[in-house]
Amino acid sequence: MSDVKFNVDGKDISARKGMTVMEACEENDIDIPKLCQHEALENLMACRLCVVEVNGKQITPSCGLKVNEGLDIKTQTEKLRKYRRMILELIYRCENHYCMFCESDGDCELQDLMYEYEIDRFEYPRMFPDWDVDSSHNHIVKDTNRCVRCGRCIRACDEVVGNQTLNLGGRGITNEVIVDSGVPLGESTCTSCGMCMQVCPTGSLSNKHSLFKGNKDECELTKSTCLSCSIGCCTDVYTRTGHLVKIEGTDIDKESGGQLCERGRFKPLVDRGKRISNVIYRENGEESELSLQEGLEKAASILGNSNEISAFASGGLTCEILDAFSKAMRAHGALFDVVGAKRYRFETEVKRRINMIEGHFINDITEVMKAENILLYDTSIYNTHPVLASYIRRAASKGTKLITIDAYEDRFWNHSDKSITIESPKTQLTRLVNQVIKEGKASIEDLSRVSSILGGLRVHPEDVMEIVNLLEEASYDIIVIGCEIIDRWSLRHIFELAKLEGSYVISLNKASNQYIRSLETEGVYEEPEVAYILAGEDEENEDMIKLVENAEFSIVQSSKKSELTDKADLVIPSLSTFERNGTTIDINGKKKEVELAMEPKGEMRSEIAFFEELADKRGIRWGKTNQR
Amino acid sequence: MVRKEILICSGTGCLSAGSEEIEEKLMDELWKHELEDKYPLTRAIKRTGCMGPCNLGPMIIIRPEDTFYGNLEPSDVERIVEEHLLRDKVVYDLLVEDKDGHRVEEFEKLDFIKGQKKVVMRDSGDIDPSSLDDYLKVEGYMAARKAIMDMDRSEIIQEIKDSGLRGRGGAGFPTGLKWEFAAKEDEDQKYIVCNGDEGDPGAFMDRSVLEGDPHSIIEGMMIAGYAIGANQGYIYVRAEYPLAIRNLQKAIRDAESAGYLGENLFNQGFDFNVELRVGAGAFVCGEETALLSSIEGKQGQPKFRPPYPAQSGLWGKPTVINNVETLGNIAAIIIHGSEWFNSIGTEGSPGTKVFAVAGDVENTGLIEVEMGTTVREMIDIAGGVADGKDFKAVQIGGPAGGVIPKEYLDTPIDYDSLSEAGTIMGSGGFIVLDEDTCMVDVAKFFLDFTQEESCGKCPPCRLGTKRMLDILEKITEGDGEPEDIDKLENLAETIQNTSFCGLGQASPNPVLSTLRFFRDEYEEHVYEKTCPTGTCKALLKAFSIDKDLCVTCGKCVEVCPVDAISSGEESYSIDPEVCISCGECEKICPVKAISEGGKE
Repeated sequence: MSDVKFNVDGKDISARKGMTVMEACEENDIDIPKLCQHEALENLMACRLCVVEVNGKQITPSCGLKVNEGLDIKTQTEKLRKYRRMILELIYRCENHYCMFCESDGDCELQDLMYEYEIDRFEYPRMFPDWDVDSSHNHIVKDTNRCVRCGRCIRACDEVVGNQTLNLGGRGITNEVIVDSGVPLGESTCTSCGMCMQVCPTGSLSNKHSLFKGNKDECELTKSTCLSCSIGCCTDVYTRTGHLVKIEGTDIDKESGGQLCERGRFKPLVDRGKRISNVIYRENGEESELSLQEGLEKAASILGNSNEISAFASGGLTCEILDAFSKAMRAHGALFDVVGAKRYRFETEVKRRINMIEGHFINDITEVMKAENILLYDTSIYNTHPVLASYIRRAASKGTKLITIDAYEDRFWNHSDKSITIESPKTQLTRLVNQVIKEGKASIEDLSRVSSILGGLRVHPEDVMEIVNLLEEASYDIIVIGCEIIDRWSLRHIFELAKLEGSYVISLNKASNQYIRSLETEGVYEEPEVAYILAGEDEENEDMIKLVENAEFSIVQSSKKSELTDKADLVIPSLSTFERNGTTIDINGKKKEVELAMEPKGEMRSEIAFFEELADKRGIRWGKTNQR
Repeated sequence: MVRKEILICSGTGCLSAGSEEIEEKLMDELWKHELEDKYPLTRAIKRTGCMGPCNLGPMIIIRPEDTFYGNLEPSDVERIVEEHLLRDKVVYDLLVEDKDGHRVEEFEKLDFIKGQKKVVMRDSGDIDPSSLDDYLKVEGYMAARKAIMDMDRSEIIQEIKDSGLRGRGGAGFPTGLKWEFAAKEDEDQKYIVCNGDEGDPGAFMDRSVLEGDPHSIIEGMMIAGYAIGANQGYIYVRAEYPLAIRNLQKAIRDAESAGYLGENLFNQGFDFNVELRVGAGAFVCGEETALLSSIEGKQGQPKFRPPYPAQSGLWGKPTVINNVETLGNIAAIIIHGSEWFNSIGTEGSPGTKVFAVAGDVENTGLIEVEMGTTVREMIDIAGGVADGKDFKAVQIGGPAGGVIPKEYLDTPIDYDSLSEAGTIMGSGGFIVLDEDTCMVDVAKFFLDFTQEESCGKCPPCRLGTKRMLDILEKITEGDGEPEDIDKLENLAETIQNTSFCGLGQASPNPVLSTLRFFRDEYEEHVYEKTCPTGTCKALLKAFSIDKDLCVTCGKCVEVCPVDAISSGEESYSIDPEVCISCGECEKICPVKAISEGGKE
């Protein structure tokens, strides 16, 4: 990149070719006001506050102006100041901005600019427009009274989330941000990711669960990683007096644009399950409370007296906890498994059997945006890996062909080029595709015959041919396999297809922490003497409940009261996600830090120490205990 | 006897004036007189596009003698058929009078037509727009044939550059240059777009051309497409122009089946197709980048330039966007050459310009004149100010333009002279205002329009114009304050300098231009709380009767619509609380005893 030299306010600065004047000024700490520009979004050049004087005559928005050799830029002339003050007053006085009653008071870009430009008196009267507040959504309040029409939310929903839910409607003074074609937000195609809210410069879009709990300056900020799924989005966790206020995405400069999903952003705020702070022991229908130490002794003695132990952990825990738990359990001779590990084991087994090389597996999920075709098996990723779903939508909006194959409802219906609904086993469809590719092009009649031989599996020959044709034409296909596909045969056929076509694969499983790839896991006893469940904060897991029901004695360690803890014989408290320190491995195999955002509540201070002591009861020591 | 042909104007204006009724009646009469052999219905009556003098509609021309009958009533038809068609006798009392009161026989000799020079409107009103044959008879597609078969791409562009043709959409950018920019781009896919999103209030030039001569636009696009290397054209028309859409659809279909559109045109290996795109009628979509967004199926909002559409336009491909009227000139230039075109108009602005003349003139309608014609000559063509009133100003250029007052009546109409006079050529709005027009009200009208049509993208335009409108309303309501005029100017400056697109930047022009020439009128509204023309009703004062003069004739009592006048023995009196200042009593008073705000 060649450097361009030019002058800003009398100061010579240099910038890389292709940058905008605004970017160059930002790098050189020259302040230019703005409302619509946002680094995660394309420049709209709408707010007109960033206008600068170019070569002493032209007035141009600096976010749209590319740097050029010898430009003479003035950012702070009397004239510009006058225009900016006028625009700010227009924006402020034409809508119903009342800072002292606004949730964003203190966190508002418009308010900051009003202070910066010392607008403390107004030339024009208020207009008192009559806007309704839309509070139909579960998490987001949309209030046009505080909207500055910067278009950030619209661009975020389109460019980052790929969902195109928000739009601009109406002309002139009736112009407003509308949802779909004018429905309430709560009844719209919104995915509830909250990205619009995060980029809103004012209080026009705000988080229902954080309202008036404190602005950013009053909160403590912890940079952490989301453990809702294996994408592992980086988060800013805001807490105040030991309470969670809000969570925001941080990877603004990356492909994710700083987005989170409903589970990552809102669920921890909504989830008001009862906290478990004591050990509960149930015997003969009677419930008693024990101290943590007593609970540990109890667990150790029960584990010690049993031969068939199944230990099952949530996939949403840190590597350190998973590690300590597995060691403690193995010390007691238990079989050990983690949510999502079974799928990974199958995958490994299939890969070995068909000699599939690692090169087929992509270790950067943003690659889907570069693919020519995406073949998506199981659209449940819409819920399980929403950020990946956003990449797929973005790709599909930009011309990538998207084929979705699902047993149930296609959650990409409005982005999919070809939506195939086929009941399990999905494997037959893929098998036919493979067959056609292997044997050269078949005619639809041939296929009709074959598929009827296969036994009325409702495979449409046209679907098969369409997939074949698309894959044969393109040079860069990506096959995305959702978590719901857990049968070995489906995996095998899909992998074979990837091998045949030289396609790349993104294979997902339910574990948020991909540390399961390096942990040794195995299938557990289905009806054990003792089941020890280490629950995380992910959704209720049916496998865990079944295990608790089938075991003679069950131990559940959890931070919250749930169906699991209600059924358990011994309940041991654990920490909540935000009370833990540690690491996690994301889907790309990258290690990320999980930081402690809140002090632990209750007796439990460290799960790792707890498991070390539990192992110690069988005379097995590691870690700190060993060093000691 | 020579077979006669009856042309009936079927432009949107005449249709609403009742031309269809006249046509029906004509057919009935022809049938009645058993003339169907001599005048086969399908050939005798020809529906044409707009003939121009819209206030004379419904109108017909009888050929070959070119006799013009205007303002027809269905009852007149019988006489025309019996006398003119059967006995070859012109029906004198149905002819249109000229300004000296003489009846004019021939269309070309009408006052309204004499001063005009028709280039773009050459075929409109002359041919049947739904007939490809008709178009071919007037050398249709000859220009395309010449360009594609005998000329190099660069030759065509040079010819257009030499002709000096400037964009008729308003800004006046040289068309040849625009083509050259797009031609230079090294891309396989390029587009040519016809901007038919005519949005100025009162303007209907583009509509008339599209309705009356759709093939000429297709031909212009084809030549442009060939010159820049585009094989796909789009015509963007607003949905409010159903007749234009219908005629264009027919024209495209006919041209396709006759081989004038499609593959391998004139056997030269050049493919060209045209598609119609119907816009929802947003004013901002006349702005080229907004128009492209709209064609792409996105919201019609302007985009930042550069890159200009000639480099990166429709779907990121080089795109030339020309106004309807600009494209209407192309075929003529190719046929007659750039020198011929240069001989028309002025040096800086060759050619002609079509104006939609409206307002307080005797004859409204479409007038195509040579560039350089003065404003005064234009008004003469339109028959002068209506009702013998005094001329006050003419508004040119629509919502982005300004007014030209009496002192500038001799301003020649060309791009540069108009901009010196503080207005713009615009797309061709020409509204004549007589002495009874309030200039604040005129500014308010245009601001109301731009304010409502702002796309909402940038605050100066969306909110600033609303603020300006509020102030103008305040002034016309009689609540104007001394600082309001300064506020208008301040807002105007910010809007001009910071708005995103040309529409926003030009939106304060109607206010600034009226302020420039009629500032005293604004000041009278603000300081004296009076409207000199009596237009702003809120500023009118109650009328009163001079007791000394009143003769108690009672005429005022009869005309008063609100019964505000009561009788007395010596004199009548007006209740100021009830009076609505309509002025009817003042007009009728035989002894001039009644005056506005006069002494009791």
